[in-house]
Amino acid sequence: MSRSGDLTKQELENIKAFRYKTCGLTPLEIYVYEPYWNFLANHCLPDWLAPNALTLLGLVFPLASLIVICVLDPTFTQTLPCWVWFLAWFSDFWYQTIDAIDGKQARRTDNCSPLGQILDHNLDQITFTCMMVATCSVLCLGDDIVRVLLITPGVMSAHYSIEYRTHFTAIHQTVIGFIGPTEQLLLV
Amino acid sequence: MPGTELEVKFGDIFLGFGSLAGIHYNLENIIVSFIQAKDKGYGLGCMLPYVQFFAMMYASSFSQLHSDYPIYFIVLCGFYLTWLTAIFNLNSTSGARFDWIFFEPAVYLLIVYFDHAKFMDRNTAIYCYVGFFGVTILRYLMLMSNIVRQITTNMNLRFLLVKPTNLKKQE
Repeated sequence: MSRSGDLTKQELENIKAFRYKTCGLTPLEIYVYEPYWNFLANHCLPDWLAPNALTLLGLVFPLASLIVICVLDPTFTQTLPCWVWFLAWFSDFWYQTIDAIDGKQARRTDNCSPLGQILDHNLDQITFTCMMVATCSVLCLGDDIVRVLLITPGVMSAHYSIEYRTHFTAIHQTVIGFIGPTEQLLLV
Repeated sequence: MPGTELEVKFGDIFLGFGSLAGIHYNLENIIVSFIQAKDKGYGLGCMLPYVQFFAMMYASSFSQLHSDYPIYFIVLCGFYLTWLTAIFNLNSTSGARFDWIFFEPAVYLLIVYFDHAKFMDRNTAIYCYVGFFGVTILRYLMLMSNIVRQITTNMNLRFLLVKPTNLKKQE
C-alpha cells in the first residue's frame, strides 16, 4: 500500500476478507457500561443513522474541547473556568459512548464493514490527541517536556502500540489484565 | 512527602500512576508482539516510527516557541501520529507489509534545529511549523478519502448511509 492509500487488488480482497478480532471486556464494562450502551443502541438510536456517521459524530466534542483549550490555555499554565473542564469531561464521555455504540449500531442495522473498523481506529487517535491536550492543561504542565513525555504513552501514543500488536498477532488487544481504555478514560 | 522537602500534589499522583500504567501498557503490547514477530528485523523496524515520534516530541522542547505555545507542538505531533497510525492500521487490515521508513521526522527535526540555532526568526519558524502541520493534515485527509472511495467502490458499500435491510435487534 502506498502512503497515499492506493490499494492493490489483492489488498482490497484482503480488506474484504478481514475479520475483526478483539479481546474480552473488563468487569467495569460488563457490569456498568455494557447495559447502558445496549440500552442506547437498542432504544435511542434512529434506524436511519449510519454507523460511520455516528463514528464521525464522536469527534465533534473532543475537537470542540481541543479548540477551546488551544484558545484559552496555549501555555498549559492557566486556571480555566469550570465549563471548560465540564466540556473536557463531557467530550471524553461522549467519545467513549459513541465509540462503544457505533459497532452495536452497525450490527443492528446490518452495516458491519472493515471500513467502519478503519474509520473507528483512525478517529480514536485524533481523540487521544484531544485528550492529551486536556490532560496537560488539567495538570498545568506548562512546557515541562519530561512530564509531558511521561504521560504520552498512557494518553496519546498507546494506540500505536495496540496497532503494533494487531499487526503481528491479528488480534486488536486493548485490555491488559483488568485495565482497558474504559478504565483509562474514567481515570482521565 | 514525609521526611523530605518534596511537595507532592494530586496532579503528581495522577501523573505517576498514569505514566506507570501507560508505560506498562505500551511495553506489554510491544514485547508480546515482538516475541510473536517471525521477522525480528521487521518487528524492530516497525518500532522506528514510534521512536521517531517521541524524538519529535522531545525535540519540540528546543524550539524558541515551545515555552509560549507547548499546546500546538502536542497537536502537531499528535496529528503526525494519527497519520502514522492510520497507515499502520491500513497495512494490518489489508495484509500488507508496513513500510516503516519515514523521512518526515527528519524534516521536522531540521526545522527545530534551525529554529533552536536561530538560523530563522520566530515568524519564519511559525510558517515552517504551520506548513509541516498543514501538509500532515492534507496527506491524512487525502489518504482517508482515497481509502474510503476505494473500499466503498470495491465492496459496494455506502459510507454515510445505511443500506436498506431488516433491523436486527441486539439482546
